[in-house]
Amino acid sequence: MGIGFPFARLASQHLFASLKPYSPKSPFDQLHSDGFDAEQIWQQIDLQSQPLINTLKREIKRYEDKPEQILKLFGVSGANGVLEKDVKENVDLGLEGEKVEDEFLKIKDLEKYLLLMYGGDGGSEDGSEDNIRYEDFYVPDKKRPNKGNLSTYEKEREKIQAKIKQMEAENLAPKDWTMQGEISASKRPVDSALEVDLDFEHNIRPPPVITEEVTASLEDIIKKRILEGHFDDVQRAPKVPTAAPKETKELDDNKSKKGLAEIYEEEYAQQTGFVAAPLSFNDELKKEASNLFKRLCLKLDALSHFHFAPKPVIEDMSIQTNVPALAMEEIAPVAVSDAAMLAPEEVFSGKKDIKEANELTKEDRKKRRAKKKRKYKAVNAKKVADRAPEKPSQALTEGKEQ
Amino acid sequence: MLRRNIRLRREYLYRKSLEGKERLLYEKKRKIREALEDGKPIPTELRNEEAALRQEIDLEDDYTAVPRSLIDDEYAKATEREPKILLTTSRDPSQPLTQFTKELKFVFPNAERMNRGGQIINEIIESCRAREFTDLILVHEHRGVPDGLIVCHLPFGPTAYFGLHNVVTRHDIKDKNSIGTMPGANPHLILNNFTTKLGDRTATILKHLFPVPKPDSKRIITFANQSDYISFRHHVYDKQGGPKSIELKEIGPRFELRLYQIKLGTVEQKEAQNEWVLRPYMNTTKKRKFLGD
Repeated sequence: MGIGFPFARLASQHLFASLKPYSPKSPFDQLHSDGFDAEQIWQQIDLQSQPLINTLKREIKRYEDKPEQILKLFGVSGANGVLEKDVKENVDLGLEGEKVEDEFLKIKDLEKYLLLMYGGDGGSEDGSEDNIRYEDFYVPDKKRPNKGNLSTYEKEREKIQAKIKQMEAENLAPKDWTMQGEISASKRPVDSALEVDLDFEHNIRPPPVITEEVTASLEDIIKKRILEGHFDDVQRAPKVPTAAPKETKELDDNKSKKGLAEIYEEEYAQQTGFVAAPLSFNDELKKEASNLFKRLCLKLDALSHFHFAPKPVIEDMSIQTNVPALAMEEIAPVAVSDAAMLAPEEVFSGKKDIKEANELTKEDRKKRRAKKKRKYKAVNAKKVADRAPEKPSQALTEGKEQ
Repeated sequence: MLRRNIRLRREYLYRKSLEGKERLLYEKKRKIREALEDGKPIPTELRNEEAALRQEIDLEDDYTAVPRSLIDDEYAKATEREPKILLTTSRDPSQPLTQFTKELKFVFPNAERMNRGGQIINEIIESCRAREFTDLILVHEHRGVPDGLIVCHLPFGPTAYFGLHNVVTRHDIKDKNSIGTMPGANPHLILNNFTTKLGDRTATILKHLFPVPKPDSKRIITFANQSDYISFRHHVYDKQGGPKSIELKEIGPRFELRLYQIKLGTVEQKEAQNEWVLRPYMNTTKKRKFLGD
């Protein structure tokens, strides 16, 4: 930075002092350069120059609106710099006549351009500055189409043409890597993927991010559950009772209508079996249960061939010759009837080849038809032989119909 | 022991094969029962069997009315005995993983931690069976971050494989006073939003890792399912300002579980059937929720 050198400091100090009268808002009278570093000095210059630039801009705008003031300005201040002189000359010349205008500079065009630049918002300056070209000002009349003489249709066309040109240029220009389809890391610029928002299709839901809201909602659920006392704990298994529950005897606290002697009499009669005891509800249940149990036992016994008692030991040994070598046990239980044990071929004593209509093969069907025909023919021949031999045709037609 | 296991396994498979038939019979009985209750005519397709089925219905009680599925069978006797859990890690665990397992040891009452050393899974399962452990939990990691949890029920399975996300351990929180101490009481469980059949199954697997708590237990363990991620939280609560005011205090680790497989067998059985597997790359996976709404 040039400010580091003493000459540069001096120079900047001089410039600062010379600009001072034009910037009354600046807090400093002169540039303090002794003992300050470059950054601080720049800061001071900045403080002075910012308002100065703003005022200059304002001035320029004012002159744009009222061009005659320029003359006043130059009349008063006189010319100091070489540049200003040039400008003055130009302006003077311009005022004398339209002699300044040559093939390069057209005053009208300049004015138009100035209007275009500063007539609207200040913000649009940046954009319009980029598009300024030499041709905008310095093109001979022959080449430039006069815009004022164009019809609306032509203007429209020109607009469309410009748009087309722009689009074509865009199409022809090399595409951005994001638009080129499949691409590998080596084919695109380094770290370029970081700057692009890439759109991925995730089939998996991403794991939840645990924010304070999530925790709060979970805690709400927990609190609610605690208040309700609604937990999903493991329930202890209910114990299956192993012993039958004790029968509670019903106590009757009414005064007995029978005498003790009568009660004894009844008891005695029941014991001896003269009178049957009245059946209570409990007794009926017991009876049903015992019936069921008996039936179950019978079935279980049948499974063991009713050999519930161990076989008695045969005392005297004797040799028998005509017995099979192995005493084979029947597979089926003894209690099952023979009828249920018959094999299918024993149950059904018909012809072997029995088939459903849709199971038949082509050969089968042919065979069946041939057989049917043969049978029919035989029967028919018999009939013909029996009856008069005049009407064979009628029988045939009947057969066809069938 | 080996032959006994083989026999038990065979019996189990046989029972499983009967399950379909039982289900069918149950459906028939249910239809008849409904018809009888509503006073409607018995459905025509069941008229022939009605008499026999009705007799069976009369003989049924609370235990036999609903068919016990095979899946329940694995946990049928789980309530008779307190769970006994063996905790271990993958081989050569890092420091954070061992810390995490230590914490899990306190999360599950009646759990024992074992250094993995060079043991192979077959050996571990065998010794677990011999010592009558009911569950084996294996924790896996990736560069010191726990990322997998396998819960294997013994002796016959099932084995559930979970992925772990967002693990925050007690060791991570340096402030010892703020997290407090870990209570040893049997916790109450909260299983939220396990509505589907698979969700029910998962809930059963998780539930039976914990013993039956006392009714006044102040320790709460939560498994809350939200879009197939099961949030594990561990709290204690206090009712200081009356019965309606509950002060929750989170202790212990927190993490999210994601189920990705359930196997109908123990971990070492490579031949065991898969009951359910997550298929993350299917087009419909995005839309479906497997464990609950």
